[in-house]
Amino acid sequence: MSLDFTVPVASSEERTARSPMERLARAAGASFERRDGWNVAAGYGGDASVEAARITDTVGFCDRSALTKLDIQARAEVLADLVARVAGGLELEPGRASRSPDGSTWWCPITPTRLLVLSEPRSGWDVHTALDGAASAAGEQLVTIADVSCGLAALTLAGPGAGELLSRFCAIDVRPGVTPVAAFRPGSVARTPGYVLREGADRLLILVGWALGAYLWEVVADAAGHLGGGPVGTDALAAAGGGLSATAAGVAEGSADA
Amino acid sequence: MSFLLTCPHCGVREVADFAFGGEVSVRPRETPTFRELSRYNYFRRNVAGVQREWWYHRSGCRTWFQAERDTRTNVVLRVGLPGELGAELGVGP
Repeated sequence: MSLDFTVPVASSEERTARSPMERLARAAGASFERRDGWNVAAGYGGDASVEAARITDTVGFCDRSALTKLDIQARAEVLADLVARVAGGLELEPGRASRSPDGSTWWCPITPTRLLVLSEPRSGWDVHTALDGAASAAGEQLVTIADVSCGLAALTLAGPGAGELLSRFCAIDVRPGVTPVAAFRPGSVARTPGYVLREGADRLLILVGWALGAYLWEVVADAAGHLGGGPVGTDALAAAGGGLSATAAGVAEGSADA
Repeated sequence: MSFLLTCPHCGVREVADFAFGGEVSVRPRETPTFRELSRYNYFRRNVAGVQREWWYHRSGCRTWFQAERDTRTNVVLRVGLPGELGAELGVGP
């Protein structure tokens, strides 16, 4: 039985992948666009300055579930070699994610034998193909590459209050001295297994299980409300810079509000 | 009750991040007697002091590891992946 249906391919025109947070984002006033095969919350309402102000003044949160996520498992030396070849010589360091030179991909070591790769949807399939090719070329049979794009929901917290917001529902210490930029921290997030990646000084990417995506949105929205924050679209997030460029840089493929 | 535990991969986390896997015990030989099997399945040393235990980082890297914890104070003295801690406590790796 083919499991291809679990992998949203950007080239697929007849299928649109949807985030587990879509219903809540729509209720919060999101306008959606189809980008790279995903229904993406591009913005909230007509006034983009409100979203921009959240990112610069308080805190905004943005659904990033459309990111391509690959889970790779292999022996430590095989994994390091694989990454070095595909990512242009990057070295894996425990607790620290490495960003590809073009800024489109994060390489996040969970353990010495397990790696999470995060990429914008547009380049995700290329990364997957390159990894498959490198694994085959190495003749290594014990490499497992699984597309978990629809296994992990993702949310970015952006703004000066990002750390304060996270600390409302997560015990992982994200003070800059302990968790600097590019630090990657597996751990409990809102009492569910998850990962935290500090993408920038004021930007935290959270990943939890797909089925708990809506739950995570509710937890974050509730906490952000007390800090004067709110949801922001991928356009506002991309305009603020930092992190992966997500789907906002992509060309919209048509409105999918209906 | 709460204390901190250090995952060999992820670092310090609160104990709620982990699942307790019981004290480390020696597996019986390949074809055990009923008495040996019963001892392995149902009997524990349950020491009041330092004992070596299995822990699983269920909320993080999902790795099984071992820790030496003082059961009286919940102070964790050492942690390590299977085979890293040696056999000083009289139990297998």
